[in-house]
Amino acid sequence: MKCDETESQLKEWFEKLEKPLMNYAFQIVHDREEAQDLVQDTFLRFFKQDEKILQPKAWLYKTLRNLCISFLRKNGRLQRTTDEEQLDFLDSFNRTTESILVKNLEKKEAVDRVSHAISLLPKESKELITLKFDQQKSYNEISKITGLSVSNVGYKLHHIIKELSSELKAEDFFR
Amino acid sequence: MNNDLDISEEEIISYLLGEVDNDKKLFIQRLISENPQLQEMERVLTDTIRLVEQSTKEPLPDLEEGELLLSQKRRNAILGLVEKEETLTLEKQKSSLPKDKKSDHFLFWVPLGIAACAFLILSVTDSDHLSTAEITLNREQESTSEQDELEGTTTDAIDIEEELALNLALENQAQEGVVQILTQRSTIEVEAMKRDLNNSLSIGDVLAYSDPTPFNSVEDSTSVVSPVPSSANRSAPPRVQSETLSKIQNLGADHSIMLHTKELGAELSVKKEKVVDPSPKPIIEDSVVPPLRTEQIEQNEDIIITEKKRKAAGSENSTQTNRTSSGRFQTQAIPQFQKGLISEYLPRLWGSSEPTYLFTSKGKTLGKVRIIKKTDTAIEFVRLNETMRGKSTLPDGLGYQLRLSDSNSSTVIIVGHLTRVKVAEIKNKRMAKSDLVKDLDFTTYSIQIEEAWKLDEKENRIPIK
Repeated sequence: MKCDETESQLKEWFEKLEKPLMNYAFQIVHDREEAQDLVQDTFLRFFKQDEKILQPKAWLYKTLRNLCISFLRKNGRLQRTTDEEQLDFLDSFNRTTESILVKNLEKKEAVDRVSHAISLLPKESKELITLKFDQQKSYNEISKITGLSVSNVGYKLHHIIKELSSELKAEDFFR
Repeated sequence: MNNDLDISEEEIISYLLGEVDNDKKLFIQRLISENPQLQEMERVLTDTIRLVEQSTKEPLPDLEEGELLLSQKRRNAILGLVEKEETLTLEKQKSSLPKDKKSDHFLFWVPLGIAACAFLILSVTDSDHLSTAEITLNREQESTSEQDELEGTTTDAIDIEEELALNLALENQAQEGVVQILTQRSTIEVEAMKRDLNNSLSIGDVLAYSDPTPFNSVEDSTSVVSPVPSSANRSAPPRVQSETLSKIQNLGADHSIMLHTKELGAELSVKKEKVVDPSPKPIIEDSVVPPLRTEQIEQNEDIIITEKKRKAAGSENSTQTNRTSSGRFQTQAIPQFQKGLISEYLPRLWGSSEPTYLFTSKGKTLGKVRIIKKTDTAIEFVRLNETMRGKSTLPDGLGYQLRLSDSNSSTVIIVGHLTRVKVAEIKNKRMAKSDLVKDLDFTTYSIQIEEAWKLDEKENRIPIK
């Protein structure tokens, strides 16, 4: 690996992302053993990678997602989802194109990725997300509900959105 | 916060989330419209907020703490790889580091210095020390070689030499054994061949190359070309040979061919060089046995009957057979069987070690026989060649010829009537000593002596009177 990482740093990345990556893989493939295999494969690829990895976290998530998608395609489970997506699309717009299907698939992957990221947030942050985006509460309302200051609610939500956008951008979701 | 921009990322997020007043909203909208970087930032943040909104509508179930982790085995595999990669990286770094020049110099000079010191010590020490050192070295070498031998690690050269010597010895022994066997075999075979040749020579002398004088007078024997080949005959021109052959053919005899080889003919010619016969002799590859013609046999029978009548009448005139100018055999004087004369010759032949041969009336050889019983008028014998299984039994008939020879006496030809006597079992008999006749049943034959001839030095047939 040429990511200029020392052994301790590599182990740090492993300890930090083992559980998130396992959760992410399990949320996609819905199989614990397969998720373990896929995460292990991801880390092994990560350590054996000859090219320099500038953003290890993004690289690990992107690699794991691709491995999961390949696994689902091999087992015929992704096609069924695609067909369901296609039917939904036809019901909505009465016409379909391949590009739209691809975009829908990519969008779903992005939503899953965001859902995964939110699931990893602390309970307080999750509550803020739910109040703001699900219940469409204002900062004042959230401040009253949570007891946090309006500026603190704003700071925390801004930080969450900013981090998510950075990760999604690093993982090429916004091409 | 982007320092190049007039607005922060947090302000744009607040704007997108509807948390800014109208004035600030218009201000941000103007800035974004004027700056592509802000437009891109707005697009990314807008998409992220939409994704978060969608994800909140379909929230993922909370995972139990510690539920999803890699197994310890997988963790060890991954972390072990990390440590290995680290070790390799360190080694590469070490190998890639420039070598210390001081250490190079040290590594170069130390062995050289040690060698120089050793040389100085050896040169300074006296001869006693030197010899002691040599002895020590020799002892070390000897002990090393002994140790190698004990450990079975002798040099390959020694092994190869030993193997070669062993192989040579084995080959020599094998060759000696083969040579001995071949010598014994060849000796036995050569002796057997010599015996056969000698025996066959006698047959050829008597039957194949002899002048058919039994049917000629003794006086006419010189006028008849003897078919015995000689060295002179070998060089005889083809014309002479053809003439001689034609003469033989004119004999009117049915030439039965005996299976004699060229070598046999040559051997015969050498042996018969003493025969004084200036006429060119033909080179006959196959021995020709003058047969007894049927008419001759009939004549002989008539003669015998006549002679018996004459004998009964007290007449002892003999008859002989001569060849006419037409080549036909005619009975001129038939030798009368006289048991007294036969008895004079035969006893010397009974004990002869020379083999006895049987021929048909046409001169075809029937192989060796062994006489088992003899009387004044008949000879009972067993065919030794009958050991070849499948050989047919001889039919009774006239004109069978027995050739008895002895190295010290002349050869005798006995002509008579062959009769199959009986099937005798020869087991435990004296003849059974021979391996050829051992444990075999034979047919015995009896030949009634009707004529007898002796061969002179010129191989001419002389009737025994």
